This record gives sequence, structure tokens and C-alpha cells, in this order.
Amino acid sequence: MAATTTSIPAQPIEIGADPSVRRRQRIAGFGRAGLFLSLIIAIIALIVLLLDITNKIGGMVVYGYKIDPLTIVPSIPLEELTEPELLQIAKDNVPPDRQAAMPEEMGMPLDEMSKDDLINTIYNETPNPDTLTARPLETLADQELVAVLDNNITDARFNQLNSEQPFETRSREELIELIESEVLLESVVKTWPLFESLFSRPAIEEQIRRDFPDSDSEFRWWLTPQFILNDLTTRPETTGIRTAILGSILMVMTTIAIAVPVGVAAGIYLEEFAGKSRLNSIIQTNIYNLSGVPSILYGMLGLAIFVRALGALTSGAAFGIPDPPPNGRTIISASLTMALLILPLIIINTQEAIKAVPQSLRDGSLALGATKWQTVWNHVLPVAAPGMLTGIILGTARAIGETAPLIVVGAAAYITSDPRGPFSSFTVLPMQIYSWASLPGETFRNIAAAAIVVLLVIVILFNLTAIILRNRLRKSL
Amino acid sequence: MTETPSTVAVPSIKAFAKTVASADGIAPSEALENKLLADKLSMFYGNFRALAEVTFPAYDKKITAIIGPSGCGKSTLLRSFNRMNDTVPGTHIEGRITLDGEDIYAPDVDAVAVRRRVGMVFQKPNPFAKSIYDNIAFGIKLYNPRMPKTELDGRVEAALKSASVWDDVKDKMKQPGTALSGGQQQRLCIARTIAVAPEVILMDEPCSALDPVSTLKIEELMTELKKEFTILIVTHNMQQAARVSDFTAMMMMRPDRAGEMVEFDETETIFTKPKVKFTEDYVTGRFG
Repeated sequence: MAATTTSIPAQPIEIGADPSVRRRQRIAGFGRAGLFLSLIIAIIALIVLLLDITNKIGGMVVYGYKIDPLTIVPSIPLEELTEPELLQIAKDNVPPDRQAAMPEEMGMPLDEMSKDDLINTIYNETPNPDTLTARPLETLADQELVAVLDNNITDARFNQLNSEQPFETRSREELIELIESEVLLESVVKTWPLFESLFSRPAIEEQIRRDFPDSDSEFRWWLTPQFILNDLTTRPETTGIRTAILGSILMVMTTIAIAVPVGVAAGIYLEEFAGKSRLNSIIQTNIYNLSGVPSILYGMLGLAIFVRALGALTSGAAFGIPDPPPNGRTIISASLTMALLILPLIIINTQEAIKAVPQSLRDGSLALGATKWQTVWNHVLPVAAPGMLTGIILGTARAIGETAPLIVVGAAAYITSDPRGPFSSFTVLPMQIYSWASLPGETFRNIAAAAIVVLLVIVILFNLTAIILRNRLRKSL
Repeated sequence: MTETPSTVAVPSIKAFAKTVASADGIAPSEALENKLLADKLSMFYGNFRALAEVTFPAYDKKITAIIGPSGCGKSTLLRSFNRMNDTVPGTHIEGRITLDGEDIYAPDVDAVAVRRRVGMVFQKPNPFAKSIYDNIAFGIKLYNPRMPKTELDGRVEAALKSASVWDDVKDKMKQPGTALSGGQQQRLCIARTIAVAPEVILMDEPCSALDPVSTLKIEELMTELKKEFTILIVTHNMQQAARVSDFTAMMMMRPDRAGEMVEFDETETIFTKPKVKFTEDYVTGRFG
């Protein structure tokens, strides 16, 4: 029996009774649980982020006017009213204590006054005598509505609105809406978050009835087709981000057009043609370092070089474009800066993709008598292309979401004209989000959230395009 | 050649080699023409000498096998013949390699031009990441970029037929070359090589990644190809060297780790009455 207790037991240990296995499996279990937990934390963080944004893109709102509607509508002159009508107005509007004092001061109560006395009393004793006979907007005829509009906005704006759609062809409701938004500056005075609005609507409506008895209220989305298509304005209710969307897209396209050819070419050269020298390893190290430089530094660089030193070029003045901007704060400056920012990313990913191509493919091509160039072009690049696209995807996503360098390089926070080319002043979505998020007022948070969603969708669309392209390339191999 | 490698026991190699050689009708007195010649070839990786004054010929339209233990420089020697070593930084040679009497390392000779005349098949099948058709067409188009489609089709088909892989691939020319089996891939690579009409084909252990059936097919193919091409083959498989080659070069590693040529002779002689003890020990499997 002693033999069975030596280091190599003759009898195998009973399965299920090996303490060492159980201990090792327990450690493996902990390890696995730890990995899973990390994943859960990441997913929860993402979901919370998305919910927080979603919560702001819609919800119950209460509207109020910045301007009292009664001050802009035409009113009936008091002289045209009859005596009983004037008496009624006086009784309704002259403060009771003043009414009581009338017999003493004027020698008679309101009831006995003549028409002229009533008119004088109304003028003297009420705060806004003109609005007392004001005709509500709803009672006005179409021409009168147009006249109200004409009297209260600038001629330029009036003509602009007319050229968008002639007033004669607009319906009554449209005209009233126009007056509400253009003249009365109808604005949201209180908002509720989306989920609260969806799940406890009766409570909110009750609160609205209590606190804002006369105001309009509704459930509204902040992310609407108008929000995407409209010009930028100062009012969150009617503003749009078309200019910023176009700016972002134009800037990213220009950035890609600059950074991808340069980055891919540099990556190919470093990996396939440069060979191994001390200089090359220094360059290599610095490319890795550059990819970690804070983006604001690229902004400073862009400001110094592209905006200031090369201002004549980046404003387009040197190319004789008509009506150039006064400085280099243009899309091309921003794109050049962004291109510098994402170049290391693209170079490194290109190199990694090329490194992953088996040497045997190159050998096979060279052995047929192909030149190095033919080998790289025909066999290395097609195989490396999907990997290189990964770098381009990362670079694009980075360029489209980056804000700090653009603040320095000079994206405008408020601009209403669409970018027309690389030499236009511009704004971009992250810039808008940043400027809205820093403004006071709940509604600016709402439109910032809506703009974030738009930005996310654009990033996803760009990435989706690249991923589809990548899968196609993979398939064609 | 009806026996498969697995049935050939090592002690019977000598007898086996004899039958193969005599069947091919090689007589020692036959007039042989030098196709490739390594002349006191030394090869360096930086300061390390990988080959030491190797001298041996590869005769025209014959198969020459290079055998020897691992690390003795067989592959390095083979890759010198089409200047593939040029792609490794820091290599240089001393001595000469001539192709039809012309020094392929002469200053005015482009390695790319050498490789057109001296093709190579690698140890691991390495079809391009392209369709079967394009695998073959790539090489042809290198030299005839504007060849009409019909002529190109003909050349591709001819190359695939010469490499006896046409029947395997004729219905799937658009499929990727990597989708074929290992043996088919290797024959595709041979087809790719002969499509550009080289004069010499270098084979670096072409069957080491293949099963015996595929190996046999490639060996049969080599015997066929020998009618048109000069073939050099590096192999670890003694039976393969005995079966397919006309001449054999025996290499070994010297104490300073440089590879040197021990013996070069007709395959039959190497396997039956080698002059050097090392060769005899090696081919009979006593070591190595």
C-alpha cells in the first residue's frame, strides 16, 4: 500500500475529489466574473449616457410670449365706443379704490360721467389704456395680420419672409404662427424631461393648469426635421443646425481628403521602402508620440500656422476667390489642423495593416519578377486595405467629434450662412453643442442634446460606410 | 514511380534510386550543359557568413537536389540563385553565380530581370489573395500588360495544364486561390511560376507542407517539367531526392556555422557510392 502514496499514485485520484483542480477552477471563475463585470460596467455607462441624452430631446413644454400680444395689435379708438361700452371698460379696469374716490375728486361717480369724462378717466387711471380695446389676433383679418407683421419686424426680414412664401398665399394659421414666432417671440418658459413627460403626464398637466393657466403647452420633440434643416437663430425654439451639419461634413471630407492620402502614403513608405535606420526609428517613435499629443496643441499649431502665417492662402485671398473672409479662420484651416491631428493615427494603422500581410505574398510576387512597387501595389495594399480602413474610421470619428482645436482655430459659435467651399467661415456640430451647453436656460440643453444625437448619427453613418466598404474589400480578397 | 513514399523503407533507398536513375536514361558520359553555376559563392548576413565558397552546377533541363541537415544554408543557397536574398537587408555575396555564363550579380544586372528567368516555388504554398485566374494572369501581365483577353485566357489555361492543376480549377477560376487544398495551391503556385516562362525553377522544400498523395503529384509534375525547365530543389526528404533528381548536391554546416558543399554528383552515385563518409551517413539515415 505504501507504493500508492508516493508522488506518482498507482491509483488515479477520484474524479471530483481533487482539491487543486477545484481551487484553480475557482480562480478561473473569479477571473471570468471580473472580465464580465468590466463589460457590464462599460455597457451600463454607455446606456446611462445615451438615456441622459435621449431624456432631453423631447418632453412637455409650456410656451409664453416675451412680448404682450395686446401691445402689437390694432386697437379701437376709445372715441369710437359708445357710452355704455366705455363705462363697462372703466368699471373693469379702473382700480376699485380709485373708483370709490371718483365722486370726491371728479364730483361724480363713473355712472354719471359724460363720454369725454369717461375717456379721460380711463386714460388717467388705467396702466395701458391703448390695450383695453385691443382686438385679439384671432379676430384680425388676413391683411391686418400682415400689417401687424410689417409694423413689428424689420423690412429686410419682412421681405425675406415674403420671398420665402408670399403672404397672400399663406393661411391664417400660418400668419398667426409667424407673428407668434417673429414678433411675440413665443418661447418655452418651462420644460420637462422626456421620460417624465411620457410616464407621468397627468401630474405634469395638473401642474401646468395650476402654474400656467393661460399658456399654451404641448408635448414636443426638440430633434425635428426643422431643427436639422433650419438656419441657426438665437432662439432655441426655432433654431436649426443645418449650417453646423454642412460645416462638419465639409470639414471632415476635406480632412479625409488631406490626411488619408498623406497618412497612407507615409505609412506605406515607412513600412515597405524606408528600411531600418536610426533616423527611421526616431521618426517612428515620434509618430507614436504625436498620436498622444493633446488636441488643443494641434489647435495652437493650426492657429499659428494655418490661420495666421498662411492666412492669405487659407482665406482664399491668394487664389483670387471673390469676397474672401478677412482671416484664415476657414474650413481649410480647420481641416489642415484636423488632418495633422489624425495623421499619426492613420500612419500607425496603415503600418500595422501592412505588417500583417504575410511576407510569403511579397516573396511570391517578387519571385515572378515583379518590382517592389508592383508587389506593394498589387499584393500588399489590397490585403492591407481593410486594416488601413480601420485607421481611417478611427481618424474620421476623431475628426468629427473633436472640439478643442476648432475653438482655437476659430470655428464660429454663431453663423447663419452655409459654408460654400473650403474658404468659408464655418461652424461645426461639436462647436454648436459646446456653445449651447454653456448658455443658461433649459431649452439650450435640449437643443444641445438634439445636436448630440445628430452628431452621433453622422459619426455612425460615416463609420457604417467605412465598415461596409471594408467588408466588401475583405470579400473581394 | 509507382511506390508511394510511405512504403519505401530507408535501407532500400539505394536500390530505389538506381532504378529511377536508370529509367531516366542518365549516363555519366552524357554531354551536360551548365545552366546555373555557383562559383566559389560565399554569402553573408552582415558579418555572419552563411555560405562558404560553394561551387556546383545546375545542368540544363535536369533536376538538381540540394540536401543537407537543417541550418546548413540550403535555402540561402537556393535564394541566391534568383537574388531573393537581396530583399533581406545587410546581405552580400562573394564569388559568382552565372546563368548561361552571365554573372547575375554583376552591377548592371537588375535582380528583377534575373527573377524573370529564374522562378521560385516556396515551401509553404503562397497563392496571391486574388482569384485563381488572376494568380496566373498577374505574372503574364507583368511582361505583356496589353495582352488581349483571349490570348491571356489561353496562356492561363496552358500554365494551369502544364502544372496539372487545370482539371481541379477549371470550373472555379473566379474563386480565390486560397480556397484550394494545400496540394492544389502548391500546383497553382507552380503554374504561376511557369506562366512567365522562366528557364530555371527553384523549389524550396515544395512538398514539406503537403500530404503524400499531393507530394507524389508534384513529384510527377517535376519529372514532366524537367523537359522544359532546369529545376533546383531543396528537400529534406531523401526518398524524394532519390526519386526525382538527376544530380544531388550534399551540403553541411561547418564548425563556424557556414554552409559548405560536401559533395556533388549524379544522384545515383550520391545514394549508392558516395565519396564522402558524411554523405553516406546522411543519405542512409544514420544521422542528420
